Amino acid sequence: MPKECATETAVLHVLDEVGASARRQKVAEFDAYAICTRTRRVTVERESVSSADSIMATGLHVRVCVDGKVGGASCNEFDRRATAECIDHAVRIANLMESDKRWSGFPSSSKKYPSVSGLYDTSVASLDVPVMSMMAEEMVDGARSVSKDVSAPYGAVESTGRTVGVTNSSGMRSVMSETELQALICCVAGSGESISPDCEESGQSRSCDLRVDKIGERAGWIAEKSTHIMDAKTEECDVVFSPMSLGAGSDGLLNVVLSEAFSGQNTHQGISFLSGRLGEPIWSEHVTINDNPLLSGRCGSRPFDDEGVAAQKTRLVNKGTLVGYVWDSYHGSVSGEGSTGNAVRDLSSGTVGAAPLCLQVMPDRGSMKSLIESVDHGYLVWGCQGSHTSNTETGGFSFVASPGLLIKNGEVVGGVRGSMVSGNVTDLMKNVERVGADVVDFGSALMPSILFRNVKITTG
Amino acid sequence: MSVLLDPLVKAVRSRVVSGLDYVELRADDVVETSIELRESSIESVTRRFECGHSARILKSGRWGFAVSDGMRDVSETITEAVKAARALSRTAVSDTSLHGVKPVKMDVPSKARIPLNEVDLAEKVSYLTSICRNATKADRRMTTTKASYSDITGDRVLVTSEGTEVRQSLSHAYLKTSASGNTSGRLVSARDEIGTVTRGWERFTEDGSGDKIVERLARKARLQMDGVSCKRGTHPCVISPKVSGMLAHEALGHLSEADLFAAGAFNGLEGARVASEVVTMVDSPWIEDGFGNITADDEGVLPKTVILIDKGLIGAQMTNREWATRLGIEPTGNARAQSYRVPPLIRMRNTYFERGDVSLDEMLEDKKFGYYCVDVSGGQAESNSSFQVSIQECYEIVKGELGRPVRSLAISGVATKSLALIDGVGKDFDFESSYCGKLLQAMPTSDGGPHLSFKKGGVVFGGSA
Repeated sequence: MPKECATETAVLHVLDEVGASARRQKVAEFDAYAICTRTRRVTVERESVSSADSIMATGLHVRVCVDGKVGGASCNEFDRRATAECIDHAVRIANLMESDKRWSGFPSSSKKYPSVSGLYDTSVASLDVPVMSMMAEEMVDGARSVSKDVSAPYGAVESTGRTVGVTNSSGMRSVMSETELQALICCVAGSGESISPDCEESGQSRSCDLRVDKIGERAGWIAEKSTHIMDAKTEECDVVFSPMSLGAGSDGLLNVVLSEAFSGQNTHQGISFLSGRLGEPIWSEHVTINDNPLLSGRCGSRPFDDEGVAAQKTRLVNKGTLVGYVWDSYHGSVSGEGSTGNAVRDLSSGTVGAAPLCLQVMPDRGSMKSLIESVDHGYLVWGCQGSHTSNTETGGFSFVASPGLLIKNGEVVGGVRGSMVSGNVTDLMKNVERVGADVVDFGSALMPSILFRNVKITTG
Repeated sequence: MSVLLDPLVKAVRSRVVSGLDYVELRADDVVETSIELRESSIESVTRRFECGHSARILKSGRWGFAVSDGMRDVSETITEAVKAARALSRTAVSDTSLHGVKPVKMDVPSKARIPLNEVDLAEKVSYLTSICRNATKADRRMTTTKASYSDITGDRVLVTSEGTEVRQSLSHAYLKTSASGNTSGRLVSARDEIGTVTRGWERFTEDGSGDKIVERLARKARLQMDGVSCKRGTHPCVISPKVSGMLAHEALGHLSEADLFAAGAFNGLEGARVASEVVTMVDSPWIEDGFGNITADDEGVLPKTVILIDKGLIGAQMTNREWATRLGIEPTGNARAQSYRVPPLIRMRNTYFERGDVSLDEMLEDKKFGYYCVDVSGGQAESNSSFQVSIQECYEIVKGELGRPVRSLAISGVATKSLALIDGVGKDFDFESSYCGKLLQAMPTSDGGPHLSFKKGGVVFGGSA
């Protein structure tokens, strides 16, 4: 049986089992989310492939509502006993809760799902360890081709096949399968005082079209450039941010801050700096942002959200004017806005909240190189060290540009050390001068490089 | 009969492991309780049940790793890991070997006096609700409070082909609270974290712990509301034990993990002076109430205290068994894995600067202008020793006295330069509990030390965020 069918069958089976178990336990209102993932990974350590991993993982999260009281439970096994225990615990938890007068039920399956193509590629699902091992070596060779001074302390190539399913007592029953290929490398160059910072570069795709050699080359290029140490000064100047520094999932500045700020749940509760500002021109007119999970073959694309509600394209910022937030069904109902198909479920904590599925900063024109060429004096931020400590409620940030590079007369001339970049996302986005066309897919964001004016740089 | 231990022991003694250099089987059977509150009302309460196992094998010097849910077919999981290792290309690393250790058989019971799994959910919810309500009452300008609580109880087992068998009873709990408000049109927020890996519910209820959380949250939030902006640039400063702990962890600790040392700023500087002789820093497997406490590491090594900076000189590295062999030293017991789902990495445990002999007043008195950094909200290190630490409680120092509070900010520096500019080490000590991230694995650690005083140039202030 093809792997896709096997995981789909497993997910559909457990969703049916939840329905049957709920009926047996006389639970009228329930919803369930099931996920089955197969991951293969090869790891690079000290320029060589060092290990191979094979990981099968399943997860089930169940919510029940008893007289307006909602409880949840999750487990990592798909058998009948585990499913029944999950529902039983969810009911026990629900009975401890107070009735939620704002509860309006689990969403119904009234809206037809959009057609989203290119989510599953059998060539990714069937990638084996020897091929992935060669890809990892190709990536390291790409980095080393820049200079023999470049080394790659770690890296990884990972292929994932995943099936996700949702069901509920309002008639929802949806399943999708997807694949993802990811490659990551960290390069350093130099030694002693001239040693570069960790220069990471990554790529991800639904298919096998990743140019792993180019990923290695870019990381190697930044590491090599960073060894030529230049002086930075405390000033306000032009700064080009790379797609990675803005869009990476864990530490891309805009991805980290805006994913929380556009959440309808947070704006409704007043813990987002975008609360109450709909219709206002808040940012530069060069900025247009969508949440767009409908694009073909993108890693953040999907036909439905984690509650099974149809995904949709939602305009968030139009030429600098704030025009929308994203909503899950509960908070969309409480606010009167309705769901935008943006429920995101955390299997560990059991929370279901609202967040963008794929934050799309609309590209304009030119590559990052052309943005750099338009700067007489400024900096290139390739990575944001500490951007995860940004305050997502206020939009405040203060991180180290690492790697950070000096731009002189339209060229990157060398690396800077310990240069801090601080401010507030609102002020930063008012100062967008140009948006590039070099969009990179980070899964949760589609991000080009951006040139900002008047960015505060601080040095020691 | 043990649900976890027996299947692993049976598998590791079966024919499937013959011809393998090393087999390491790990399994968890745990229950995680998560409670999320917002605005004093419950957002979600969830129980998560997780049972599964993994096999990590070394075959002809190459690693293979496989994970499976549940406890069925452990031999099949070993076979999957062997297949993965065999499939690695010929150019893969094949010189990996492990430092020999004496097999250990241990049963580590929980030290919890009030076991977390015996406390009613209703009591936990009530405790959290009371913190959120009282935080809002403490200052009416605080409009939103959040509490995220989780605890994990159950068993964790390690079995190796060398005869090691370790069973640990887990009692992990962590509480993160935050308060947000609006003053003069400006949003502010503050947060607080406490955790334990050794105690039970008593960690949250004894010594007025809940009241202390409220008091800390309210104080930090008020400071944000009333605070002034920080002046960008470098200034003389004093940092509190919590901040010195973050510095110990981010700026120095990661660089002393053997896998990162080799590619980092300390490489080639073994034994070199990087700080004055009053500076000593260690990583310890056990301190009172330490969040990074361990009895054995996830390779079955009995852990040791490692002196990372010894009177200003770069000292020993933290190792796993693989890196101990490479370096020709004894393993230090720093191999830790977040769960059976991931292989162990070299991780810190409780990392701190040793005490000195200077009082806080003495540190402040010679500073005409500077900053006193008291509490942190996160940080990050780079292998070139660059560090960034986010500060959520800070005061000006003016003519040797504490001045106005300062709004949240971040500090940074390059450790190899900053350490040399420490001009005072305090005689006090405290530490912070937090989770450290490395290659997507979050591990509980404690970081601490005494107050430290820096000359101008040691720390850069990035301006209020």
